[in-house]
Amino acid sequence: MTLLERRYRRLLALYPWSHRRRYEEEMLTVLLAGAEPGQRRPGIRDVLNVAAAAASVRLRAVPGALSTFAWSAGAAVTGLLASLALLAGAVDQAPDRTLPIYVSDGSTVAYLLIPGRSGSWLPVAGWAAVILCAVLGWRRPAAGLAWLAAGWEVFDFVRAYRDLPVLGVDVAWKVVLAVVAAAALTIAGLSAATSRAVALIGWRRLLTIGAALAVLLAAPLVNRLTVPSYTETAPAAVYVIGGYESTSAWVILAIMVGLAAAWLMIGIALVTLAPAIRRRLVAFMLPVAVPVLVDKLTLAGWRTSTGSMGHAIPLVPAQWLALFGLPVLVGLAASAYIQRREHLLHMVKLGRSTDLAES
Amino acid sequence: MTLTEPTFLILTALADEPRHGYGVIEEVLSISGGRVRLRAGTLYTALDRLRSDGWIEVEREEVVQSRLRRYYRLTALGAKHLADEATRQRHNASVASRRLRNAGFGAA
Repeated sequence: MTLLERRYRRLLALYPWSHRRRYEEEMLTVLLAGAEPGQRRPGIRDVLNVAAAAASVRLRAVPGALSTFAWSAGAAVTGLLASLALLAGAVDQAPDRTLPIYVSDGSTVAYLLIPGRSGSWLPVAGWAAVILCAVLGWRRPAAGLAWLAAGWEVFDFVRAYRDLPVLGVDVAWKVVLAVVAAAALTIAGLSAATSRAVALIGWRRLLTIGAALAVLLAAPLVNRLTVPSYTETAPAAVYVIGGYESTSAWVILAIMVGLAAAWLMIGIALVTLAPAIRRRLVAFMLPVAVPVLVDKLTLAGWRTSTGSMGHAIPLVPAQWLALFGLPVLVGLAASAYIQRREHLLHMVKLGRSTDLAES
Repeated sequence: MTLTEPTFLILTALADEPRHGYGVIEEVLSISGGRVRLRAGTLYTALDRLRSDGWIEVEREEVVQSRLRRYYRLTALGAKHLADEATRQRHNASVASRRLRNAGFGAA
């Protein structure tokens, strides 16, 4: 094999296997026939042309792969669970809230009322409607409503960003989660092969997750109702952990145990999903972690600057790309990895059964 | 359905006799007067689609100097589509020429 042939073969490896099996040898003949005498590497135009053609073949294979049972089932489960998480987030943000303000001498405390943002019950209604449709198995209405609700989350992000850029960055992950939910429900809705998300998750698991989310939502509410009033003159010990406060150590302990139990229940419910669905859930959800990590790992300096400069510092294009472009890449890479790994395991299984049949 | 120029030229190249991949590229270059040089990626994207639509089929395979050559030929279905497209283009071209002539744009 000449050097040029080896290089052309490496170029043709960009095509998926099904295409290579059929056309690789004759494409190689064509490429070599078109090469100049003494040519040692593929010309740039051939490289670009083959790369573009290979990409289009791979892209055309995506709808087929996504409509397989495992992907559409994973998408249906992701869509429902992501919508549940968004509903919980919306419920948490909707009502008016009070925040304790500690005055510098520590003796007096005032309460600041933070009104729920205008229209903040809209996403609650939106995501609840999405969940209802998904539970009833109305897959296309669920997908359509999810895009509307995702549109609202984008609007909410823009509104927060214009108020104060850091407030926008705080909710960037919610925009990604909403788009993931809508995209997953769309994939599930387009495929004919899906069972209902509820059947795939199982009622028991779904109710467990729902109950755990209710506990997570109720904990701050309970704490707000039992918060020390600070009006008593008698000295009293106040226990504070992570924003929760009480005059009773037992109440704080009960809240902590409740929160831990809720997260544990969610964890167990997700870990015990069918492996093929669980893997896809991870692939779909991985992009949501990206804005959080980008924020924690790269935006701390920007947060400090924009807070202390006296005027807001907008994000630069590279930061926008990292917040919202990188999640797309991460999602694609994770999906491609799962597809490849399962294909490999399938091949190993085929090889093993052939081996057993021969022995 | 309107055919793209490369597809139209590939079908035209296969109209008179079966040809292998590189033969199609050379024939298209000559039909188009040296204007259209197909690249391997473009050619095989088109051949794959035409084959799955049943417009062309594999006639025979040959191994020449340990290289695979696969010859493609036009099917009756492909011939009909090519004829329809040729008629459509001839009609459009003649209308365009007539109007240009009538408008006094000379020898178009």
